[in-house]
Amino acid sequence: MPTLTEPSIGAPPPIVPSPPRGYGGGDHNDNTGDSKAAASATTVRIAVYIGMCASTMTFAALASAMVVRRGLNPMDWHKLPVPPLLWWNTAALVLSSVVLAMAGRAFRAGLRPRLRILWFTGTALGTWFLIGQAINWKFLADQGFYLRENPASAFFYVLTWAHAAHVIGAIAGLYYVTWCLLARPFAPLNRNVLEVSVIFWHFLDVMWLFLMAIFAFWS
Amino acid sequence: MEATTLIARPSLLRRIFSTDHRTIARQYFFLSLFAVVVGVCLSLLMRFHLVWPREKVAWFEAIWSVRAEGGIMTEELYLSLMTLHGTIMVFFVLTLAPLNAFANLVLPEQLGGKEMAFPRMNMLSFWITVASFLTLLSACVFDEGGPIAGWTAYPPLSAVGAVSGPGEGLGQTLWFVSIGIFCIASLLSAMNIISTVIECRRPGMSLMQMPLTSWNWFVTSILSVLSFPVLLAAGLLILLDRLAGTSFFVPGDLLIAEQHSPHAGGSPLLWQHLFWFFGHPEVYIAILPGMGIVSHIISNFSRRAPFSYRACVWAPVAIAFLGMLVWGHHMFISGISPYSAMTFSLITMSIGAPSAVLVLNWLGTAYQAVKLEFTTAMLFCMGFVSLFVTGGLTGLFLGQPEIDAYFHDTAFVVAHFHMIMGMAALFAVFAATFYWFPLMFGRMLDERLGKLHFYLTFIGAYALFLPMHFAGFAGNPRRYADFTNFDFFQAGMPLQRWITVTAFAMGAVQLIFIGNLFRSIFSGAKAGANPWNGPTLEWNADAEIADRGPYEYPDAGADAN
Amino acid sequence: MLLGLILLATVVAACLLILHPPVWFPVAITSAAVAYDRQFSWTLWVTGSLFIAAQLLLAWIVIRRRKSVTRPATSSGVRASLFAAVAMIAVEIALAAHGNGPLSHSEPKDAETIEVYAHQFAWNFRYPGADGVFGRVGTEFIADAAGNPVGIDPSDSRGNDDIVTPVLRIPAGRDVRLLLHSRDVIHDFFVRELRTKQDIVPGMVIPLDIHADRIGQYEIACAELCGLGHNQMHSILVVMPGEEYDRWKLQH
Repeated sequence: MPTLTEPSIGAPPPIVPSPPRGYGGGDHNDNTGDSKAAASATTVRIAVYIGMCASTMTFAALASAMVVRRGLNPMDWHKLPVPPLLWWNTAALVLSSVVLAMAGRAFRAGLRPRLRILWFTGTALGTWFLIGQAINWKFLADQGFYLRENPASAFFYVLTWAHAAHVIGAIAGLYYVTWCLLARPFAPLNRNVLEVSVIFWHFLDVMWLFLMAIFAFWS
Repeated sequence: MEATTLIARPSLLRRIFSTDHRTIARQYFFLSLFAVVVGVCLSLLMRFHLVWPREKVAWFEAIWSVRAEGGIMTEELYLSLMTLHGTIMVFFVLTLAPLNAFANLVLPEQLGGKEMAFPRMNMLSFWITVASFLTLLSACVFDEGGPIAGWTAYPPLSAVGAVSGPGEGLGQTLWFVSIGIFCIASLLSAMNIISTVIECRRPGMSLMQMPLTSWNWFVTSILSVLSFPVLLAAGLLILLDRLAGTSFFVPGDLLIAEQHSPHAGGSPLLWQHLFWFFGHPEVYIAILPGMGIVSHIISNFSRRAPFSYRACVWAPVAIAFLGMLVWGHHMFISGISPYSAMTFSLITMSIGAPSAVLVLNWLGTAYQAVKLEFTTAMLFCMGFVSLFVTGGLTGLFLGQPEIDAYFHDTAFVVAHFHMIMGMAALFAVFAATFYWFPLMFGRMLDERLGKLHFYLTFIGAYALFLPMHFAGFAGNPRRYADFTNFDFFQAGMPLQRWITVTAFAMGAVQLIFIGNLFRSIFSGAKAGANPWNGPTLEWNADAEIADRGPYEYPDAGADAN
Repeated sequence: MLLGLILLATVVAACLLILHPPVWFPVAITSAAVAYDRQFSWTLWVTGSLFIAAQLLLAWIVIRRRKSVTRPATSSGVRASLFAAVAMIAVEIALAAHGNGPLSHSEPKDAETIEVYAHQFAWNFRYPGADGVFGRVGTEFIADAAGNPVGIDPSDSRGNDDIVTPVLRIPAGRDVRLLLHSRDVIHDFFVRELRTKQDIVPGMVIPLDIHADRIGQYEIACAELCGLGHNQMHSILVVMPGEEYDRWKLQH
C-alpha cells in the first residue's frame, strides 16, 4: 500500500506520473499558439477515423444493396437522365476539398489572413454543392423519377441523401469555424473542430467520387 | 496550512446528465437491469400461454384490451410479446450490460487513466439509448401491443404495413425507428471505447499489456463499428419501403389479405443478408465482453496469470474476424445456393477452434491455480464455462446445412441461443456484477446470498434449457403462439409444462439477486480498496506498476505468457 | 464440492435424457431422411463426447482443491492452445465431411411435379391434371371464396383440368418435385418425417425434391413466422401407393 511521505527540504520533488496522453492539456507540440484543444488532437482524429469506418460501412451496405437489386431484375432498371449540375457539383466538391486542405496548411503555419480567404472559399464551394444537389433532386422529380416504382432512382436518392446528410453535418463544422473567424477574428481557434471538419470533408469528397463511379457504371 | 474550498453539490441536471464514467456505467447497469426484468416477465407470459392457451386471466384484458378479449391472450398478443422479448434481450440487455455498463465502469482505470476519451459523447450515448428504449416501448403503446414480426423483422411481413398483420402499421415503424436510434448510440459508445483504448493508455502500457477485459471491449467495439452501420442502412431502406413506397425488399405481384400490393421488384433475401451481416456479429458483441470478464476473473481467483495471455488475446480476435464472415448460416434454407451454404458452413465450423482455445485457457488457468478461491464471481465464471461449452457444441449441429434443414426455426435453435446468450452471457454479467460491485457502490454484495443464487440459477439453467433441445429433436417449430393445431405437439406437452414451471421457478430465484443487489447498495458491508486482491489498475490506482504486465500477482510466482 | 457434484449430475441427467428421451424424432420416410439420422447420430456422438469430457474436466478441477504452491509449473500455453485449435478444426472437418454435403443432390428426371401454394394462413396444392401441364396463374385471378385459391387463369384451357387440393398427396417410391410459391409473405414448408424444410420466398419459385418410401399421413407445418396465424397453417402430406395415387389423379 503506498504511503504518503512528506518530501524533506532539499529533496527532489516527488515524481508525478504524467497523465495518459489522450486527454486534458492538449497537444503541446503545435507551434502556432493559435489553437486551444479540449481533447488531444490525435484522440479526436482517431474518433473521426472510426466515424469514417462506420460511415463507409453504411455506404457499402447501401451500394451493395443496389448492386444486388440491379442484378435481380435488370429489366426494370431504367437509366436515369444525368442531372445538369452533377458534374459541376462534383467539381465544386473536389475544389472545396483542395481549398480547405490549403486552408489547413495556412492554419498550421499561423497565417490568419490566408486562412480566412481559403476557408470562406472552401465553405462557399461546399454550400454550392448542397444547393446543387437540391437542384438535381428537383430536376429528377420534375422528369418523373421518384422514389416509388423506379429502383434506379430510388437508390440514387437514398445514396445521395445519405451523402448529403453527412455533408450537412460536416458543413456545420465549416460554418462554425467561419463564424469564429468572422466574429472573433483574433481569438485562438478550436483546432480540433477545424481539423476534424477538414478531414471529414476530404472523406466525403472521396466518398462522392466513389458514388459517382458507381452511378456512372450502374445507372 | 491547507486551504479549503467550498465545492457546491452539482445540480440535479448535472448529476442526471453526468459525464463521469462511473455514473454513466451505473446508469447503463440500471437500464439493462430494468430491461432484463421486463424481458423475463415477457418470457414468463409467453411460457404461460404456451401451456395454458385457453386459460382466462382477468388482468390480461385490463392491460391489452383488444388483444386479450375475455382475458385470453390472442396470437397477435403472444407474437408481440415475443418480438418485444427478443428485441429487449438482444439489444437492451446483452449489448448494454456486458459492454457499456462494465467498460464504462473500469476501462479508463484499467488503462491507467481517469476518464473515457470523450466524456460528453459518453453521456450522449447513454441518453440516446434511453430514447431508443422509450421509442421501443412506444411501439407497443401506439399500436395495441406492438409489432409481431420477431426481432428479425423479415419482409415482406414487416415491410408492407398494417395489411400483413396487427401491429405491423405504426408499431412496426416505431420499432425500426427505435433500432435505428440504438445503432447511433452504439456507434458513439464504440467510438469512445476504441479511442480510449488507443489513446488513453498509461505511458508505457503497450496493447499487449492491457487486461483481457480491455482487449475484449476493444475488439467488441470494432465489431460494433463494422456491423451496426449495416443495420442502420437496412433499417433506412425498409423504412422507405414502408413509408415512401419504394420496393427494396418487397417483390411484385403480392396479394396480402386480399389487397394487391403496389410494390414490385424487391428481394426479401436482401434484407436477410443485410440483417444477418449485422446480426451474427451482434451475437459476438453479446458474448465477447463476457469472455474477457471470465478470463480476467478466473485469473484473479486462481491467483495466476491466464494460461496463455496471447491466446486469450488472439482467440477473441479470430472469433470476431470469422464472425463477420458467417452470416449466411442463418439463411441455409432461405433459398441461397448450396455453394454459398457450404462456404458459410466451413467458416462457421472453424469458429469452434478459437472457442476451444478459450475453453482450454479457462480450464488451464484454474487447473494450474496457485490458490483457487470460489467466490460468487468465480462460481459464475465456472458456470459460464460449462454453459458456453454446452451452448457452443449445439452449434455444431446447426452449422451443418443438412442438419440445419431440420432444426432451422425449431425449439432446438431456441435452446441453443438461450443456453449461450441467455444463460452463459448472463452468467458473465452476474460475475462482473459481484466482482466490480465495490467499484460501483463502495460496498460488497452478500456472498452467501450470491452463492445461493448461483447454485439455484445454474441448476435452473440446465433444467430449463437442456430439455428444450428435445422439443427441437421432435421438430417443434418456434414462434408458434400455441401448440393446439397439430397432433405432433401433444406428445411433448408434459415437456413443455416442465419448461414453463422451471421458467417460473427461475424467475422467482432471480429475486434473490435483486434483493441482494438493492440491500447491498444501501447496507452492504463496506468494501476495502482492493477486496479481491486484484492485480489490475482499477484496484491499484496509486501503485507504481508502470511497466508490469496486468496479471502479475505479488503473492505468487507470476507466469507471464 | 457442490459445483462439481452439480456438473456430474448434469452429465448424468443429459445421458439419461438421451437414453430415455421425453420426445424424439419421428420416423424417417425417405432415404435422405435416413442418411440425415445417421449424420445426426455421428454429430451427437462427437458433441456428446466433447460435452461430457469438458464438464467432467471442469468438475474435477473444482473438486480437487489445489494446494497452494509458490511457483506453478511452467505452462507452454501457446503450444497447448494451438494444439486445441487444430484438434477442434480436425474434428469439425471430419464431421462435416462425413455428412452428405449440400452439393450431393442431383436433379431427378421424370419427377412428379406438384405445386405448393402458401398464403396467410393455409396451404394449397396443385396438380397438372390429365394434360400434364399447369395452367397459367396470376394473383389477379385469386378468389379464395370462389374456389380459386391459387389464381388459375380461367381463359387458359390448360388449367381447366388442374387439381387444387388442401392436402398434399404424393406417390410412394417415386421422385417428386415440389414447386413452392407464396403470394404474400415468407412461409416455410416443413414435414418432420422428411427431415428437411424449405423457406418459401414470395417472388421466387423454389424447388424441393423428395422421394418418400413409407406410406402414411404426416403433418405439414409452416416454419417461418408469417403473421398472426403462423401456428394455424396445418395440412397433411399423404404418401400413398403409386397405383392408388394414379387412380386418384384420374378421378379428379
